[in-house]
Amino acid sequence: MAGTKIAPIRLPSAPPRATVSGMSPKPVLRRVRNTFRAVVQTVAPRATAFEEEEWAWAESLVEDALAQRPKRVRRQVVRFLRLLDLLTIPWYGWTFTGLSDGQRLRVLRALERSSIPLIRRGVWGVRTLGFLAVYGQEDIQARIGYRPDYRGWDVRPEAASAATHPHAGAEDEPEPGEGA
Amino acid sequence: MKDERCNVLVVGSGAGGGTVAQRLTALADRGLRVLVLEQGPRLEDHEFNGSEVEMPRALYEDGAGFLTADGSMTLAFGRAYGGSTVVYTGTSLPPPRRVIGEWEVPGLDYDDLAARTERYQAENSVHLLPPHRINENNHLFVKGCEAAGFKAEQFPVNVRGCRGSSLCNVGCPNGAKQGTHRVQLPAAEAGGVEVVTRASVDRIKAGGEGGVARVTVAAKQEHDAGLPSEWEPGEYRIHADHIVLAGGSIGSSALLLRSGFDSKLPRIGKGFTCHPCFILVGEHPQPITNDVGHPKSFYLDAAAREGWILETCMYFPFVTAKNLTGLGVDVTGFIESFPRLQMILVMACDRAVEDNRIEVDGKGKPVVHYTFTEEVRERLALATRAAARIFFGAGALRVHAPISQPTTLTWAELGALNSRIQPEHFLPGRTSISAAHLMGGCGMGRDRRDSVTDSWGRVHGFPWLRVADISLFPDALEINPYLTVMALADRVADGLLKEYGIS
Repeated sequence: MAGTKIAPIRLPSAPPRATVSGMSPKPVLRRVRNTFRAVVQTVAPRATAFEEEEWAWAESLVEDALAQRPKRVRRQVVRFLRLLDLLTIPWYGWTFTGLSDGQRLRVLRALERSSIPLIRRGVWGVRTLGFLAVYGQEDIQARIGYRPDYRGWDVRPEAASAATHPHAGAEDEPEPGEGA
Repeated sequence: MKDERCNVLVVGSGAGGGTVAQRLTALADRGLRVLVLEQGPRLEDHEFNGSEVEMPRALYEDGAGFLTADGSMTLAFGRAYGGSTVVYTGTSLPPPRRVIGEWEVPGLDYDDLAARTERYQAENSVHLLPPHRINENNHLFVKGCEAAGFKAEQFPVNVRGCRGSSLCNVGCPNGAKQGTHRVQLPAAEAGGVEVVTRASVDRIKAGGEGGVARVTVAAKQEHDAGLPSEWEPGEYRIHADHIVLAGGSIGSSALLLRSGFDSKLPRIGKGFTCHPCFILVGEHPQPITNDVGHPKSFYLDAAAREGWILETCMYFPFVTAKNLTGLGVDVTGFIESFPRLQMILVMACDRAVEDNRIEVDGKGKPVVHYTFTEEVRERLALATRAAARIFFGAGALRVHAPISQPTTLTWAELGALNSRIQPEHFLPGRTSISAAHLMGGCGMGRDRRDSVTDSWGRVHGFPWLRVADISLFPDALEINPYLTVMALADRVADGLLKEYGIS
């Protein structure tokens, strides 16, 4: 069987964009959109320059992710974002959404070290959604230089030569169909 | 409710279930019926598209977002035809003799286990990648180890025709990774074993001379990846002479717990370990090759000496950002420099302790309780210091270390690593931490007071019931577990075949 080729796989050179499925049983973010966007901009400052189309992708990624979580988790996200928006009023006299970028960052940094585990969990949860909203977008992945390709070394020969180095085993790589 | 009958029912199709399935073709040859049930879907080759958003939803439990009860740790495990062998990096190491000895399982002989391991090393094409297939992310780890006075070792991996897509953790898009979905399961099906996907087992109980499983076969939904189930969607009652559980640490333990076996087997769900780990990234002054080539080619094993392991790794932008610690530029400053990033996975060897366990909630869903012991925190700190030295030894300008305060370390701080990186900086809920080696819950041992099964996976007091997966581990393995699971499952299959007069 030597020389047998891998069956061609019909894939683009970069993975396709995540599907905007609209499968959420009940959209979550529309109830807390402004707070969510403020969190995303704080967590990943690149989002401060987002156009509406990028926000649409960001929110669809998060809605799709939340749609697959239990209803309880979706409720927790909404509650935490609502709580977060109000929590800053005693400190700053403004809601979280109304604060400057620097003030928001200080608030989240303080809360992620809270002595209350639930608060820390809440920050960790919304920061995770914030990173998903930004770095889950394949256009942004490409812009930051992440460019995997299912064809690997075949389409990155310059990378192969740059990486050649004596640290490795000397066995040849078996081809598909070769005996183990 | 439809009724089905079989001689052997295998629950799960990963490293354990796939191995058992293939060995039991000897029964199918004799006209006996062997069924394998898999909760996840069977994907077609073209569906492995490399997307870090889509593929985890198709291949992992909870889309790779399963959290421990207090929400402080993410547990990643596969849920597909082939189980976790579809989504791991293929690193295939034999069990450490020292650890198997320390397990002290009566009847478990290291040499027997090692011999079985060799079979699967050959069958699954385990080998060292040649030099021209190693990327700079991995070479820099070796260089850094040399500079820091450590000796890196190369991982044998189970690939055939690897093109270096770097996408192992979302399922190889080229079918190169030789998990059970590529080797054992197709062989089992060719040999007459039936595999039913999208089939989850709700409960099992004794019935007749064997066991009965209540099973739900789910319909494929519009947005689901994968093929429809081989069976009509609906409820089934499957009568089997023997049932073999291979649903993984969480799956097998949860099934036994919600079936009420804990009243006679109090150790079910106990002894859970998971090798907690987090990611460190180092930023180099120039771009390196990191998103092409096998991501995990080298490791540094300090398990015996200090209880930690370092592995090379390379994750995707969102997963990387999520797994760093902190907010804003503390994280994004690194992520935005992706082509210059080197990555190391820090892994602590944890021990089975009473608090860390698997339970089920009122609906029978698994709940994992995990507390980070002082020993684990200390080991994470030791490993983090070593990793930081390796990064700087390799030429990195700065390093993100989750339990450093602040999290960014510069080269000029090399002399201050011990004070900057401290176990007490680990703050559950803030420090991103995850685990993918989920072990124990149905541990092997002497009797029901200290274990759930014997060394052949036979559940104490239930001759029709066996366990053949990673839940058998009575304590952490301290290395990547895949080959050891296969070797143990091979023993379980041997024991079962003997009952049918086949040796």
